[in-house]
Amino acid sequence: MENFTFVSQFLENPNLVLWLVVKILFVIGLALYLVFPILVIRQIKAFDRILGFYIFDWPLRLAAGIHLAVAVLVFLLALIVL
Amino acid sequence: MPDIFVTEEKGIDRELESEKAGAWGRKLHSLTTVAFKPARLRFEDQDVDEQIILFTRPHLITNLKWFLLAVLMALVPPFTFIFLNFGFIPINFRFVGLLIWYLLTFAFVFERFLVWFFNVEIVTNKRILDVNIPNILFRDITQTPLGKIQDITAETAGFMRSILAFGDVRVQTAGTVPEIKFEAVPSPNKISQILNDLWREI
Repeated sequence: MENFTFVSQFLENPNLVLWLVVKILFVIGLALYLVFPILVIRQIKAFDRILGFYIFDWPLRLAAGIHLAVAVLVFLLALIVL
Repeated sequence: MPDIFVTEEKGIDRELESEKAGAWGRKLHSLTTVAFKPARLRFEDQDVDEQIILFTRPHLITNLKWFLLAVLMALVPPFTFIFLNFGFIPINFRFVGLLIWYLLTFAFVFERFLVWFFNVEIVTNKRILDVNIPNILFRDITQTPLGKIQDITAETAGFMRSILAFGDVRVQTAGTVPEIKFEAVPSPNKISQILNDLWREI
């Protein structure tokens, strides 16, 4: 029945359904992307521990934190705006 | 009498070391590519009596290729919005699409920079530590004792490398890893000379 509704909606307004699909793809893509900045932060921490780089790599740690914050913001924005 | 000769040799060594240290400096910062006896740096399993002699990274110019690509990526949206008509895409999708594009551009720049940043070689008075990261999700750390070195070769080939005086230093070892490569490091001849000095001391 749900499939039937989806198909009938698509036939009535194909554009609306198309953009809904694009929105879902954007949100899934951004949710998957969130893993990347977390992995980057973990790698930087690991290298800091192994190589002792924490004495001079604070700008990198800051950039990694900002990267994660921006990724979360874009994800939330995609959920709200789209 | 032989003591006099010993003192003179030590004096020469000290002079040579200060010359090397003076040229490169001991202070480490984010963009340091080579440092002689870097101050304050200590790695995880460094022994108490182990001293870091050399810290190297690829030359800064090796970042030029991805840097230019990133500039190109940053310029793509303004140019496409000028020359192509995106009127059929709703404004909210255009906005989020633009943000995603710049997020990916930043991720690319950051990942490339981190790969350069953590691609280091550390030479101590006991061993060589070679850190290779082909990408941010993979790391490969190789260690070899100085005593296992068999051959050291410095190589500078190519126009850019000759002009900016950087190149590769290959260290053949008798260990499980047959070769350690100091890739695109500044002053490869000087680095190989320092490695040779350390090798002879062992």
